[in-house]
Amino acid sequence: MPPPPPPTASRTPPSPARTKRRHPARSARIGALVVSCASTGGLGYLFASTSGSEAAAPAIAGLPAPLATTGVVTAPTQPATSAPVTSAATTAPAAVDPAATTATTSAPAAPPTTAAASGVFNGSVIDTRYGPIEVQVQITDGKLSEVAVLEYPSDDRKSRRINAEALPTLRTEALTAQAATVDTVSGATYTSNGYTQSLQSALDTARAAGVTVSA
Amino acid sequence: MNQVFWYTTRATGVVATVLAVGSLILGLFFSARNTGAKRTAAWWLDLHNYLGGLALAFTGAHILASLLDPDSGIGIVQAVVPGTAHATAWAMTWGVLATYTFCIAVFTSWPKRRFSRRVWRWLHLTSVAGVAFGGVHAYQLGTDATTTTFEIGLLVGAAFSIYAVALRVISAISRAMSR
Repeated sequence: MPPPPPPTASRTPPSPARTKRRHPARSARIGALVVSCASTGGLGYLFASTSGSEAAAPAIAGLPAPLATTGVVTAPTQPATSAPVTSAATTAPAAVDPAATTATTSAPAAPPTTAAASGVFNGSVIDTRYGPIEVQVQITDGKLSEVAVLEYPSDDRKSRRINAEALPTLRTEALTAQAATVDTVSGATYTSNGYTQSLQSALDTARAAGVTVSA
Repeated sequence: MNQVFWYTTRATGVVATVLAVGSLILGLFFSARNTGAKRTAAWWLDLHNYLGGLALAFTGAHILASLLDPDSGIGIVQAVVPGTAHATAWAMTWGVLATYTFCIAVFTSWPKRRFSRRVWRWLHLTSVAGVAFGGVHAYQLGTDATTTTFEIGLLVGAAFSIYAVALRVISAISRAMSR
C-alpha cells in the first residue's frame, strides 16, 4: 500500500528574511475590488438618472378616475419636504359653481363667500422619493365627497403594488375624516406623506376659493 | 443629499449580494474539490476569502448609508436588533441575520485554528443560510427587486448557488461512501 501523499498546503518554516506572501488570486482580487466599486458607482448613477422618469400610472381598483379635466383650481407644485401651499392667489381663476355638484364645465367666476359650496380642486404635485403624487378633491355642499389620484409613483411594479393597497385606504380615511389628517399606511410612508400634503394643499386651495369643508 | 445616501444604499446592497453569492459559489466549489485544472485550489480559496470580506465591507457600507439616510427610518436599533423595524420587520430581520452570519463567517476564518474543525465548519456553513437571508431581504425590501434585471440576476445567482450546494453535498456523500 503506497504511503499517503504529503499534504499539499504544508506550513513553510519562517525564513529569516521574511518576504510578503503573494496572494494566489491577487489579480482577481484587484479585479473584484475594481468591479465592485465601479458597479456601486455605476448603479448609483443609474438610479439617480432614472429616478425622475415618469410613466403613465395605471388605474387602481377602488379609486375613482380623475374627477375633471377642465375648470379645476390647481395648487402649484412643491417638493415633499416643504409645507403645503396655503394660498391659491397665483392660480387660474376659480371655477366654482355653488349650484352644481361639480365645477367641471362652469365658467370662471368670482370666489363665492358662502361656506358651503362645491367644486373640484387639484392639490399640489408632491415630489416624493419614489415619484410625484397629486390628488384631486371634489367638495359637494361643504362635504369632501371624493378624492381622486391624478398621479402616483408607478415606475416599477413594487410601487404599483404598494400604492394599489395604500391609496384606497388613504381615500377612505380622508373621506371619513373629511380632512387631510389621515394615518400613515404601514409600508407606504412616502405615499402617505405625499398624499396628505397634496390633499391638504387641495383643501387649502378650495378654502382660498371660498369653498370650505365642514367636518 | 439624502438621495445620495439612498442611491448608495441601493447600489451597495446589490453589490454586496452579488459578492456574497460569488464568495459562496467559490467556497462550495473549493470544498467540493471541484476547482478544475486551470486554477489552483489556493487561488479559489484566496478569492473566496477575499470576496467574503469584500461582501461584508459592502454590507457595512450598505448599513451605514441607510443609517445616514434620514428618510430611511432605520436607526441603530433597527440595524442591529432583528424584528425592531416598524413597517418592514421581517424583511429587515432577514437582512440583520444575514449580516450576523457574514460576520461569523469572516471573523471566525481569521482565527480558524483556534476552533476545532467541526465547530468552525458549522460556523462557516451558517453563511449559506446568510446568503439566502440576504436574498430574501433584497427581494422583500429592495426598491429594485421587481425589475427584470434583478429577477434575472436573482434566478442566475440562485441557480449557480443551488448547483454549487448540490455539488458540495454529492461530493461529501461520495467521499463518505468511499471511506
